[in-house]
Amino acid sequence: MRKNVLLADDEHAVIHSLEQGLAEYKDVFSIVSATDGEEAIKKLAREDISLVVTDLKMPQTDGFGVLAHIMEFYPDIPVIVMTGYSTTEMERLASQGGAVGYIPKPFKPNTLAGLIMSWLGRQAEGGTLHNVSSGMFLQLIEMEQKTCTIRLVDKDSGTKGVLFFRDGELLNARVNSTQGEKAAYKIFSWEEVSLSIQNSCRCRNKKIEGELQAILLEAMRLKDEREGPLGTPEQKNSVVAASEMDEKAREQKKAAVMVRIKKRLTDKIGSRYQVDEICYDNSRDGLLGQMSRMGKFFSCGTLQVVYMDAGTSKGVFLLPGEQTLTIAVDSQFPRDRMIETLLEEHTDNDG
Amino acid sequence: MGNNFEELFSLNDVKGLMLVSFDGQLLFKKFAGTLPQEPKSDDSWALFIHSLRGAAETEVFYEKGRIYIRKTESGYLFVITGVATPMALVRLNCDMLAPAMKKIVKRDRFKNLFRRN
Repeated sequence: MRKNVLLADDEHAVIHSLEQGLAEYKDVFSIVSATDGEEAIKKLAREDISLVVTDLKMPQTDGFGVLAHIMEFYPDIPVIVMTGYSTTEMERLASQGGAVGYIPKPFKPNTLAGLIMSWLGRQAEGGTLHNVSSGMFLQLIEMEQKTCTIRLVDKDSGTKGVLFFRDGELLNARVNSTQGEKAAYKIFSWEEVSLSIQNSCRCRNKKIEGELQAILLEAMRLKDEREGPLGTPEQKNSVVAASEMDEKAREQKKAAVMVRIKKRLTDKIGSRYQVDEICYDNSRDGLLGQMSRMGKFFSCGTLQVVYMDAGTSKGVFLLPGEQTLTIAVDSQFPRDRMIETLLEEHTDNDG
Repeated sequence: MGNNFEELFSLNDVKGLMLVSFDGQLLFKKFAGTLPQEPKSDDSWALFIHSLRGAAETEVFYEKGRIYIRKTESGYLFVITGVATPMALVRLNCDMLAPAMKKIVKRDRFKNLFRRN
């Protein structure tokens, strides 16, 4: 099956040149392009990407931001970084950030192709199995205390998922942009899968707390609840319709949150001060992930609100969530009152 | 000026101070109690510092604590506090500390910032 390789570079000429240079590999992978980090992050959420090649120097979200985002939300996707400003320090930072390859510009397309083919090949280095039941196989992984990344495809729906194991312990699961137990339940509900095994695991964070056995049991229970005693096609269709309604409800909820926050700000702070912009923006999620880990390190609990001085007399408030709410303000904005308001919003939301 | 670090550390509910260089080296640390794990110069700080994208000030609010991060001439100063510390006082103390942070390169000079005059 042909894979998608995401290529991010703000220079159109580079993208065009690489698309041409890599055309001979079109039977193995096709190129999805992005001209900046933000577009790359959006495409990761929308498309099935197997590998990312990113320039480091890009406007707004740079290559390091893309790398941090991928390591946080898509740790199974290898990242190769390329840069025209290559230094030993850059290479060290890229490696520490989780990049699997580093390639200074200029380079021949075949050099990049070699790296891409090598990393795509590793995704099935431990073997591929078809038409298996995932539960039994995964219990074997646990017993043998394997460290691996398992990529699965549901035979029924064609949906893809990833499981991350270290020493037999299930660290995380991913289905598209869903992670953790929710993704694990979805994967374990698949009757028959094809799976491929990579003999390494790049996942750094444990996002699943329960034992594998407990997760498997819960997945079966949830599946039974959804399907009912018969699991008829009509009931399956109603699950699909329900998930479409869920998506619509999520969008409505997001819009309602923004309206509520605007009203709360006007009530608390008045109309003398205006925010420049309120929007959902996930470009800083890599940084927020690092801040969350820092909070755990210092026993500060869960991350609630962040303020950053963005320079040039501007500031930005970040409210982490399923999607990060970003509020851009002038530096004269009453910061402490704003923080108090956002913390109240966070508390009310949790309650 | 010599007692500014001490003043910052003596604010109510301040739990720790760290100074991290622009390339992610841990230059100085002082904590009020024992941490489950001591922070040390390792790879994660370099990436975190880079991710700050040069922000002059960052305030991070958690359920049970705060971290105030100020960019200085010598690196990023991290002030770890509980929920009771008034952030305005932390900012003010960091403003007062800023001139003393200039031209500090050697690690042992940080200890002087804790001496009282």
